[in-house]
Amino acid sequence: MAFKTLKKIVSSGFLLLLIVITPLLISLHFMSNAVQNTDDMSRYFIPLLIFNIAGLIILLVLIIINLIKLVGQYRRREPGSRLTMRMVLMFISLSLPPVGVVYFYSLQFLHQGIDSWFDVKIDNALDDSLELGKSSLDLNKKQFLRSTEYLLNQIKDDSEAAMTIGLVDLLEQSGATELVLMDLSGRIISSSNINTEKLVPEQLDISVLQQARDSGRVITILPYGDPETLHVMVVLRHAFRPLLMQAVYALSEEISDLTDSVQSALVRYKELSFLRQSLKFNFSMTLLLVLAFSVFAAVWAAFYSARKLVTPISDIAAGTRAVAAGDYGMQLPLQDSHDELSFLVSSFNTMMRRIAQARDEAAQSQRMVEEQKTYLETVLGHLSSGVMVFDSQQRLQTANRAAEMIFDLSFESYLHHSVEELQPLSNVMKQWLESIVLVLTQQKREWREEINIESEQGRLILLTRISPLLDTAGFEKGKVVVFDDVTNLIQAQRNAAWGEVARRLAHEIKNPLTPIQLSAERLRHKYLGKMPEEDSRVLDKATQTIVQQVDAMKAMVNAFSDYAKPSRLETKPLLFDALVTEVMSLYEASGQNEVINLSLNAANVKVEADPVRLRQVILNLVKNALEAVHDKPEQEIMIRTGLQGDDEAGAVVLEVMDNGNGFEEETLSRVFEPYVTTKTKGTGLGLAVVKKIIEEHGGMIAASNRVEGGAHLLVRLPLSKFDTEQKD
Amino acid sequence: MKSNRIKTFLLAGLIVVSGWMLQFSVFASEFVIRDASSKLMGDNFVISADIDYQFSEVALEALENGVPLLVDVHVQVRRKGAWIWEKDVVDRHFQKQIRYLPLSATYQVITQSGSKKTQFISRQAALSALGSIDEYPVVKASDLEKDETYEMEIKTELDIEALPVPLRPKAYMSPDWKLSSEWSQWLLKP
Repeated sequence: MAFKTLKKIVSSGFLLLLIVITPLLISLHFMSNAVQNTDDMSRYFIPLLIFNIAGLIILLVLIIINLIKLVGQYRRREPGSRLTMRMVLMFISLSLPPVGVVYFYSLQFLHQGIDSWFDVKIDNALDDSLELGKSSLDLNKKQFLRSTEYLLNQIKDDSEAAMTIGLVDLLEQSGATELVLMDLSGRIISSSNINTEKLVPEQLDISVLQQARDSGRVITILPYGDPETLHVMVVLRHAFRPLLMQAVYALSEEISDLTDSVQSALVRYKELSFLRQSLKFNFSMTLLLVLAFSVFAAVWAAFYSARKLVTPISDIAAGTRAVAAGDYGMQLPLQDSHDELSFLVSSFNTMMRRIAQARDEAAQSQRMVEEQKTYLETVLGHLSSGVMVFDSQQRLQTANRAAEMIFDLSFESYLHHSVEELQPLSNVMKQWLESIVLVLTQQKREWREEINIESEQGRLILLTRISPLLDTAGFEKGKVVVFDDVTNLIQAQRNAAWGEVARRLAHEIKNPLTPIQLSAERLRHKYLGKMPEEDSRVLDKATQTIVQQVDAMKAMVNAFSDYAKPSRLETKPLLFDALVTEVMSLYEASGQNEVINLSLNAANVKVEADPVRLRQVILNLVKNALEAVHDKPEQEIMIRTGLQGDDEAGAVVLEVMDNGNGFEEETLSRVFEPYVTTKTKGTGLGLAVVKKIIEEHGGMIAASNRVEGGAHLLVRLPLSKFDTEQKD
Repeated sequence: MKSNRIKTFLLAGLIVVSGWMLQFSVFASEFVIRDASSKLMGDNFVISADIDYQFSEVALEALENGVPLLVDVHVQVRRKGAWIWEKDVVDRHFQKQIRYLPLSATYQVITQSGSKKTQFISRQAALSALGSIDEYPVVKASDLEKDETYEMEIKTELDIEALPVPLRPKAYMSPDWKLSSEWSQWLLKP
């Protein structure tokens, strides 16, 4: 968190501002101290000045860089540059005039203030006091000069010893502090001082000596003694002798103090007066630096503030462009401040988040819908039931694979077609739609019915259920039609029922037949020889009839039994053509084979079958054909074998065709059901048993009428796997 | 185009700064050290020198207006061939001050932190006295190694820090106040 804040501060340029401006401000403060009367700080004046100028140059360079950058952005018409330029100019124009005015008047006040310290009257007063002091001192000087002249004239002796003694006396008389006699070269001949500890006098300055030699006298004031007080020193040349006398007189304490005071004040005032220009220069320069700092800082602040204000606006502009381009994932950087702009950016971000969220949700919903659709399509595609959806205008919306399989049609190109447009697709479709079209147009809750459809392949039974398709508001927007091909199921149910009937029939009837037959034969055996001829003939005929009918009934019951009992197949690979040939040979003896036209095209093809049962199938079919052409003048039966499909999914086909009457149209679809027959004789179980055996072998049988007349029976049996493997 | 402009700007800045620095070098040496020498006096090596203090007009004007001028005499004794980090044997400073007393119209030279004050009626005499270094003790002979050779050097300059505070900023920036001599050096054999 702290690192983020720090990073934000660094990136915002605020840190740079802080690094440049704060030390500069502190430095300016120290500099202002340095130009004032702070001895400690004044020695750092030059380093501070260099530091400040360097800081101001850096600030100026930064401003120039910013300005160049901004002008470039303005020329390139970058977003936000115009606003930034306007704000920068506004900030500068707002800040410069007040700063300039303050600088101008500050400078005026400063100069006037400094000048006001030095009044002309004070100048004159001080000059006057100087003159007054000088005059006062001149009086003393004249007096001390006269005194010194007198003392010098008192030196009469030539010897140095006498001069020394005389000098001591003169010192006492004159009241001088020190008397020194020297030759013209400055060599001290004799000296005397009221301070007896001071044996050697000060060496006279060469210039004073020179002046004394040249002009005859020098009078000057100097601090002397310990503690130092003002004294008057007179150096006088003797009029006739090469002698110089240096006499030092103490001024009165009052004059000394006053002179000292006047001199100090004068020196201080002159010094200050001299420093006036320096003071003005120093203050002006410091003020100029402060002005430059203020102006640069204001310009910098203008850039900084403008950028700070414009950045969120530019961001929002960029954000709106991104939204327009369809990018909803953009998030604008949040500002630290909590102003309206920050609120605007925050609101924009919230809006973007919500849009992105809505988009994601929509995408997810769409994905879910697609998943649901795929799921539904998968489920529908794998349903054994056909499903078709019609809208309220009875236009087909959806049809699954099972529907296409049941109708043997492809609905892909018929979606959104109306019922009327779908009807011509096939006969089956037409019949089925005719049966349900009324229901589709009615507002009905549920509808269910078995629809029987007659087709070329036989009767088709479609168990159809229709349900209304409701929208979210509960209004009906179409119909869902679900249908199952229950033909085989009903057929199987029917077969199972017949099987049960046959089994019971066999059980119930077969049992009493044997006692009936035995009883009839016993009656015949016991009474035939004993009864009169007439009676015995009747008995014989009656018992014969009973026995024959019982045999017939037994045969019928056995046939039922065969149909009803579960098969026990003993299969083995058989050469199909060989089997057909073997069965056909049975008809050679009776000469019936003459009407049979045999065409065998499945040589070396084997089927996995029970030879007894398969033989029964062929016999039944041939027998039926023979019976069908029995009363025809030109009898013709064609038996054809062949191979259908490839080795793996292939089958052997047996076709038995005759030129008889064929099947009746109404019974065609039910010819394989028990007790469905067109013959006067027979049990009606022949084809039912054939179908049962074929189906037990995994094959199928179909019956149809030939166009040229007669029946056409098609048997298809799968190839022997063993045979196929051997071939591999 | 842009880089050329920046180069021109930098060059102009360099010329201005160089010119400002040059004025210091041209007018730097206003003080001249003449006859600097040392000799053994008793146990001490003493130094004598005659320095010609040629103050600038601005400095003299300040002096006439009561501003005291302090000159710093810097004396160093260093082993000959010493490494740069080797400490100086002697590193001493002597100060002398000259001031004008308007009431008496005299110049006062104060040496060694006010221990000695001398009054002069002419400025020339005062400046001569200011430049006269007469047998100042510098180093004890016992502090020097006999088999070594030493370099003694002397330099003097106007002490700007001793000027009144308002004058210092100007003094720091003006060559008129940057008054100093060259180093004058000679060998010393204990």
